Amino acid sequence: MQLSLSRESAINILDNDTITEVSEFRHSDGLQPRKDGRKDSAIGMPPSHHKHSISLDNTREPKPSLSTPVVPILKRSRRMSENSQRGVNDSNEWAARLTFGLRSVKRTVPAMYRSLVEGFVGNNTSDNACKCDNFGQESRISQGSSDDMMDLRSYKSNSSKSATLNASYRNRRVGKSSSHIEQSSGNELRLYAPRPRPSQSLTEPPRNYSEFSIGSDMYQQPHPNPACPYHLSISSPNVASPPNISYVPSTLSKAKSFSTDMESSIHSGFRIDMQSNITLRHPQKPFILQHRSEVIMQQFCIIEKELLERVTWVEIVEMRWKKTRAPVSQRSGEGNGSASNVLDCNIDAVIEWFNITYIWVISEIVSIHSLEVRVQVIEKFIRIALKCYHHRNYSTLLQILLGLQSPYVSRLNKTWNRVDQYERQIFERLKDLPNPERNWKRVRNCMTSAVEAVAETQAVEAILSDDGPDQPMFLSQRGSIPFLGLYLADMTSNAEMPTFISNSAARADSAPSTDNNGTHDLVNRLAKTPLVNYNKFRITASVVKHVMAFQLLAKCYQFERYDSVYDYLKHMVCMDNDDIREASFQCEE
Amino acid sequence: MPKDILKVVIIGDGGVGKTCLRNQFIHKRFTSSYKATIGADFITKDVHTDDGRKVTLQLWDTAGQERFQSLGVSYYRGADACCLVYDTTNFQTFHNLERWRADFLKQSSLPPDLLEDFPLILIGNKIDIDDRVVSRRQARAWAQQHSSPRMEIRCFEASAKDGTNVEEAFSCIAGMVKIPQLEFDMDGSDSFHLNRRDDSLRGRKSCAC
Repeated sequence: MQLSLSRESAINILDNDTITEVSEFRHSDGLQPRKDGRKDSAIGMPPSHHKHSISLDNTREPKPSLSTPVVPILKRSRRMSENSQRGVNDSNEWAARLTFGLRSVKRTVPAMYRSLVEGFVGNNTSDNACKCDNFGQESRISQGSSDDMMDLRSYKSNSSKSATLNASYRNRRVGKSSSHIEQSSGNELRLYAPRPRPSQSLTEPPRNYSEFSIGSDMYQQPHPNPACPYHLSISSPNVASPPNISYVPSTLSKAKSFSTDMESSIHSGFRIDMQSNITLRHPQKPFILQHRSEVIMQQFCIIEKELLERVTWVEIVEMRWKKTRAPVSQRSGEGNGSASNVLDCNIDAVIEWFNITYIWVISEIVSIHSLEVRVQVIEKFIRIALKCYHHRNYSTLLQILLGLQSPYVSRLNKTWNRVDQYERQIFERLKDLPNPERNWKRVRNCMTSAVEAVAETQAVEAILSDDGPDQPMFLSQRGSIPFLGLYLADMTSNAEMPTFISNSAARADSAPSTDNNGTHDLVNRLAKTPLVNYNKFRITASVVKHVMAFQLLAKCYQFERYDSVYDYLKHMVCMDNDDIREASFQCEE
Repeated sequence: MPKDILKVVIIGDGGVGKTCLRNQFIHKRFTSSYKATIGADFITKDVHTDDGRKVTLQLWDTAGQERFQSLGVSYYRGADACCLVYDTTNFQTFHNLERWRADFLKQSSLPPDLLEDFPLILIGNKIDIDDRVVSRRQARAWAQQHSSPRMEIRCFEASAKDGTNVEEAFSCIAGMVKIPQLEFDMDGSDSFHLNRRDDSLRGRKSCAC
């Protein structure tokens, strides 16, 4: 255990408590052992133990990385079974039965470990703890994920629910004081031990996070809004404050959340020293790793819900999003001229949000220079995508998937090679969702099945009368967010249909009936007046109904808003295209 | 004779009539189909090129999703040719071509050496409307500027409404894609095309994991 000086070893030690859990799982069927050994426990199990594990189909074994420690290994095993809720099943039904078993402990605990281990580096350890704990309670209420609850509570209270779990949690808690870090977690964490904090008053002007943000100097420009707490990189001021999102929460709240962060960091006695070499490899943790995927996903759902709610059926029918044509430069997020462009169309806001999030996903990944952290960020995004899939938020799901498949992210081969097999399996299954082939068949199927649960007429009534989901019949519904682009495409191609069918067509159609009865008169009249293409309007109506059904479903999300995460996401800062390109090439040649 | 399927992406601003152009080409008519076919995505049509080969054009249309910049990746992937469409009565749509072209070349995940010679054509739509603001000369200048020695961007002015030049434009693009293949066929390695595809496939794979 003492041999390895790598960062993994720190995790390994903290991972000890999962040994029982892992060995338990090893005996269950279909384990998918980790091959890269990044999270291997130091306590040995001969590799041959894994031979009996069953590979899922579609699974390629990753190449063993050169940095893999040759220590005998007890693999941290993850798997994705068909029945598991973590799997990507075609039917969403499974998610209804939210029975998180021990497997979910296995899943959640490493994530927490990882985040907590890094929490030493960042200054938000206590914050994270609180958030996790809150979340645990909430998740129990909303979803009954009681295992999460158990972990988190035991973390907080040191109750002796699970001795092994507790041991390490305690370590971590104690670890907030520097000396204990050295003792309890061995070689590596010592590196992150804080300097004694100089007496600095709380009223010190807030440090701009961009100072110790990701990686290179390149992006450490001054932030236009110094109150913004989570500033990673700056592209242009216009992008920094997306104009299309009109209902802007006041910057006051941001400032507030920042000061809380500051305080908590002060109380936890941490100080990041960017000057010292040792912390250089792991500077401030990226935002995305500071919070649980579930929380991030929920905030995305809330934002999407708010955007979707504003879309009116009139906009859809009139196809207004095509009429207010923004300059193309705005599309690409380069931001010039966007301020002058008033978006009077709520669909535009949805589209802009879609694009911004897409760029944000890319920026979050390419702005990170440490390979290891970048891998973690990609894994995190994949897990968020999976959560979105499970919670049927197809908008955010597609944003993330498209972001991950964008040229500047997908070219990072080294990074992708190190992505955990578990996440890769998920990604392999999800990545075809944003495929326009066969008219977006996969997404369309998912979305249709989501809508089918709602009686459309009732949904329309409910939306138009503003009743919302209070009505008992909608209470049982699970929320869902559509990918609106699908319906926009439907509307566009539908608009190409003729509104009236020409006389000749009418005559040809009705020709057989002319012989019957005394309908001659009628047929003659029909031949003179064009027929209304009823089908066209029926399709328009069905699109509108679908969108309304989704508006209703969106209201069914019972998620709680976490202001810090919500505000950050709402005002996410993206790089512009050139910076992304450059950053991507800096990450990997 | 091998039958080739060429993926042709039609791009341009919203409202320039891309879907119309496509419908006109496929159905030889201007929105006369009254059957609702939501569910048809790309539409294919067989075309005979000048050298007598039969190719199938698979026309991909970003109908209604022009502003979803992010969707470019999934639409453009594996494209063999690209139609840039503008509206002759709307200068902004012509101006934006530059952007569309850049977007396309960037997101199509082509190897850099092929970017310059990627087959493009330019179609100015709606010449049936007597309100032209983009002149033929401007279009030609633009095409000239973006042509490479091995690939000349052809300009067409078409009307999706009455069908002027639509057939010609799409046949032309079918012919353009052929050219490099024929050259390599002469080298005696008719597997080159496959190799090229293979490369792009491999690139895709590595994107995925």
